[in-house]
Amino acid sequence: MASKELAELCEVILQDTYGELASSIVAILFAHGRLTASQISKNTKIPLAAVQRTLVALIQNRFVLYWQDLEGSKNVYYYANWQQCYSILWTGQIITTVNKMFSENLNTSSQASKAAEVVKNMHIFGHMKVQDYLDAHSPEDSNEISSVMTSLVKQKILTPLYDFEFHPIEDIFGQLYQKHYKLINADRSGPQSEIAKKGAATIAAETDKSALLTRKDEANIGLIKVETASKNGGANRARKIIGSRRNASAENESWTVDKDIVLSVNHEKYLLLARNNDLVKLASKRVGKVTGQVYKRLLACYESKISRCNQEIQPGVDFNISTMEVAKGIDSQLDVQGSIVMPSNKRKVKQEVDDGGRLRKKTRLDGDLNGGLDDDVGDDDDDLLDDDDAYDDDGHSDMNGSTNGSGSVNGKTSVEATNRHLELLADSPIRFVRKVGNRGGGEWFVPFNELVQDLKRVTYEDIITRKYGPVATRLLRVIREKGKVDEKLLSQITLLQSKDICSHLTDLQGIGCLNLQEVPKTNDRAPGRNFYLWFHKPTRAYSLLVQDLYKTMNRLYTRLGSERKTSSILLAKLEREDVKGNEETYLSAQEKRELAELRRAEEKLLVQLFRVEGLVRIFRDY
Amino acid sequence: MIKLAQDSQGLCFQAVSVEDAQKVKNMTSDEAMVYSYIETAGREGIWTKTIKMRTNLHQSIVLRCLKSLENQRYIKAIKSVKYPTRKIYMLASLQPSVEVTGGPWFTDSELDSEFIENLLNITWRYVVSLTFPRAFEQDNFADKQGPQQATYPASYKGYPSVTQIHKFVTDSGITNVELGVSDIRALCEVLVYDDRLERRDAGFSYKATWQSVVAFGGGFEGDELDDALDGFTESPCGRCPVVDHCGRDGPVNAEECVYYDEWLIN
Ligand code: SF4
Repeated sequence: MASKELAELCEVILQDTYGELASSIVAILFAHGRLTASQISKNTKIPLAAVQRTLVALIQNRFVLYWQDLEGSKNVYYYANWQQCYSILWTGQIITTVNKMFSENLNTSSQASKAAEVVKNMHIFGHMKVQDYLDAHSPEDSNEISSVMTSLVKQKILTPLYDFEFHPIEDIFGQLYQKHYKLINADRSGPQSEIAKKGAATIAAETDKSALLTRKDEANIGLIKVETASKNGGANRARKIIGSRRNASAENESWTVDKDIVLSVNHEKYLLLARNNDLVKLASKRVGKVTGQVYKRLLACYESKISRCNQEIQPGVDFNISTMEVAKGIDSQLDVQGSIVMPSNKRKVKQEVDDGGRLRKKTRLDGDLNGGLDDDVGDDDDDLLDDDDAYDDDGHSDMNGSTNGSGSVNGKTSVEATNRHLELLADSPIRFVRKVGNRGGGEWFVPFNELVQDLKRVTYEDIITRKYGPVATRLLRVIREKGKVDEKLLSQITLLQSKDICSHLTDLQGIGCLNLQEVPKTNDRAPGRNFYLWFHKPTRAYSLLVQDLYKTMNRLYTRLGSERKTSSILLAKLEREDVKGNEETYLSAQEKRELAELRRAEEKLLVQLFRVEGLVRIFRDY
Repeated sequence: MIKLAQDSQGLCFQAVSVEDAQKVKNMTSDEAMVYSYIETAGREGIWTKTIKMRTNLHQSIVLRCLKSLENQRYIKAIKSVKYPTRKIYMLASLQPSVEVTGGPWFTDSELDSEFIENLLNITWRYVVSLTFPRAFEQDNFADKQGPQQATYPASYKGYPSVTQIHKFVTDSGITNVELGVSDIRALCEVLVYDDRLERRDAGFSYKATWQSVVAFGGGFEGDELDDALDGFTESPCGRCPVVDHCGRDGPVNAEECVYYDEWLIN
């Protein structure tokens, strides 16, 4: 169920994009859970016919899901689907992403704009059958569109839409459960006790449900082999070959989109791309820009391997990435080599003297590093030339004389240099990557689930710092690390006065970041004698924050609407046929100023809205 | 001229210096009693209430004794960190113990935030210098093309240990307050909680974090000072004092919100 804040936000979004009617129907569904069409009409005082007309459009976009109760009343119930409503906010970003992706991958600009257009239309209509879409275009165009669609499906930006996705998953599960329960009940040899029967039915239903859901994750879903397509006019679905994942990506040409399927936009894919983006940002900030770019390549290697953010993955052949793979894709302009500075020996010698045996034992540099370094005792700290010489020993002699240490050897980035960046990432307390093997120059695994926790933590801390200052965050970090802490200990660890601490603690408590536990020392529970222990519960803190974020987005959106309303006369004028395109001549200076002012406000509000949205994604969807 | 004392073997007598004997001789008997309790309390000091209890004297008499002793500069009042509200006395010639003063972080029994802040920065700077080559060199690159990143490899072992940091701070002569290794560790830990340092080798040594360098204006071209607010805190609602009263039909709402009026103008 959507919270009140989320429901209100969805209403505002729908109101802006699909109008008052749609918004009020969805609002009533949010408020009441599920309703039949006539109930909606009664509650909203909208005539039934209008309700039904609107519902059709809402269902087409899956803003509303439906379910027919086949057993009893035969009523059709409608449900509001907040995920889909919310995802309207992503439309712009998805289109931009697609455009960028196609322009970067050496496609023609016409292809890029076609791709963007396809995705845009998908958003407008909710979903579309491939053939129908192609038929709406001229034959020349449709060829190009079909190839664009093929790559969109291949990259999982578009994905086939199935019937079950129009129904609430809980109802589907209920139906599956009933079916299995009946079967099990009828089966005399099966489990006898009621609990065992229910258990068995639940398990069976769960399996069926996940089978339904994972179907979408299959590698070549929505694609058919070209030979098959030409032979049978694209109608032979039985011969879709699934599972040869490697082949598919290798022989790009031999697959084409299945014209009989219904496609829609795959938001999971968008979230994955967005998550990668945020992770790269984090790596650039925590480790360095060049390392961030190397990390970007590493994450890109996962793009075809995972299909949703919450997918559980384990280290293994499927999910390990070799350094070679990462190095291959790195931009040759990137200074992969020079951005890592080898420590000079002078400092290292001092080190060993200072710390005696302990460090000597720990001075374990990779063989090649040592080999190079031992020779230049007494070098200047920043002597990059000599560092390069050190690499020459590794057989990369083409590096000679490049003072800026360009990381490119004949256009390929050296595996060693890439490894150094990956090692830096692995070395960070943020769990960017783990080294899992040595094949292919090194094998790496990104523990996304843990990493996302780190991302949330860091993002949350940032927000707290910005809102309440560094002292509040210092306190928060201590409390998170120590578990439950009383003020005295806090003051000792943070070296802050209790009076400075108190106000921060209450601030943080106010937003649900910290909780307070009272532990009575004596039986009478006298307040003066209690221990007061502070603790931090991330899940609670984050979910409360998300509610605040929804609220903020809602306000931003509402304000946008009201800004437009204030200038509605002007906007109406802009819509007039004679004014369109001739704004210069038809608008007065006053109107022009007003328009500029409005556009500025709109932009500011929207930019802000999307920034807040980016935070929601981190805490809710990754 | 002698007083009772206790050592490991049991009770014994101890000679009292002539000066001390002279002091006591000039006191009234009440004063002498109060004085003796304060003397035994040593560097910990003693609370006036405890004196009253032990001596069984009336409050006003105790106070009078204390006053006269203080006037003769035999004893002094001190402030304890643990019990800031209590009036505590000790012999004028003694230095209060660490428990009473609270250690190096306290000046006049108040946590000396400024002193701590300075030490934190110095410590951090030192660790930064051993963590990143050219962390604060960006000015040198103002017109030339600077590197995008300069980091030691993960195998780098030059991160300073606590003892090393301690040595640096004491050698630098920044402060004449005596700091122990554990004090330095406490400083480093605060820096860890500020996300300016990271622990290495389970806290044996420390490493500076890159984002803290950037936040302090270090880093290279394009490592922009990241003090821009996030979308949430920058929005009027993220800082709104009346957010709980705000709603579509509430007394305040987004359409008429003055905070937005202001924010949109800027
Ligand atoms: S709209 Fe205005 S009053 Fe309402 S929460 Fe935002 S800033 Fe506060």
